[in-house]
Amino acid sequence: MTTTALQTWLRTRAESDRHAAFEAIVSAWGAAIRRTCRGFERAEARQDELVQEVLMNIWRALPGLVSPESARSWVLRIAHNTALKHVRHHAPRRRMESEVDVESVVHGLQEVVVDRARKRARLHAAIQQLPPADRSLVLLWLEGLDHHELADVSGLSPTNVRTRLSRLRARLTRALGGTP
Amino acid sequence: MTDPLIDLWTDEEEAPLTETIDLSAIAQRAEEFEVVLDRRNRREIWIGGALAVFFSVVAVWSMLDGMAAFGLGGALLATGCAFVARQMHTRGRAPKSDPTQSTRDFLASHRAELQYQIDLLDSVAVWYLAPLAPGLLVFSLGPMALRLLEGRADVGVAVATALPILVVFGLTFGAVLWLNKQAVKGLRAELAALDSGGEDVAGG
Repeated sequence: MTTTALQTWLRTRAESDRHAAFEAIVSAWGAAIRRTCRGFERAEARQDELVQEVLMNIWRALPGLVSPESARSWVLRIAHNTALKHVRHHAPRRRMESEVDVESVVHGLQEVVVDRARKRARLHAAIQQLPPADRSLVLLWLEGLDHHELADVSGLSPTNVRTRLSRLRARLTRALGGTP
Repeated sequence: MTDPLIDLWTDEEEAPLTETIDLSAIAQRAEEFEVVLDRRNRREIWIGGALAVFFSVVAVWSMLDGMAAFGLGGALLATGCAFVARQMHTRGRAPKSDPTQSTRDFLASHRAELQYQIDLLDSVAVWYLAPLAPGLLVFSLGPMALRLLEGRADVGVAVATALPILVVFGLTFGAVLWLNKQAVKGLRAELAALDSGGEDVAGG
């Protein structure tokens, strides 16, 4: 459905098709956008603000989209660049913002999902402690991008991506209480 | 087999964005933002141009009427306004970072964008205030200075007239400079945040 909507938009460039293409993109990668924003921003209000900023940038950049095949990395590139700009823009004004509170995240959940939620909250907290550029790399990897795509989106060399990622994965695994 | 960290990160269920966000409103806001920005920039340039025309008319009218100080002040102000409007037109177009670039290129262009804004605001005294200052001073104080030189005015009266005008100018110019310095301070902090966290994508 996403590919069809994007192909139609790329062919016609009609305003109505642009809206359909936009909706198709958000349907397909909305969850990834939401997770990316959650990875960069702690406070829910800021996450929502960032999601909207990312969506506005996607809408503006749509005329420059070349092919439906490259849409996923294109969307994630926009999301990450927007998020990096966003966190650095707000960084000087929120040194005192609290860290992710794992217990408040799992509070009220059923026992069966508590363990999973607790682990996810720990992963989230560990990601939040990374410098923005490392955070971006980890989040892209967590969205399932391979080394080639990671190099393309980040602008780093594939070797550099592999080295950094290995170090970062070990750090995250340790944060979750496992052995790298 | 998928990495357990990837599973953990992606298996959380949540409402689709298409259900929680009005996409038409997002598209409309994105369009309006550009239009508003463009309109604001154009308005500032038009105001500068209109003031240049107005003071040109004042200058000609004053000269014809034999009011040399007003005429000279008007001509200087017209030139100053035209110069500032021209500067706004050329300098106002800051380079924009494109979020579809690779992160490395995007951060480099974002850095250039911030540096451009800092330089622009930092030099506001040179390209915005300085061109207007001579015209404002001659236009408001010139006639009194001329009367003083011709011996038609008392020094005390001249000083009493000039002082409040100079204080108002000083305060206005000072406020403009202070506001710009504050904006520069914020942008420098942003640039520092970019530099402190950006070294790992700046390398290769």
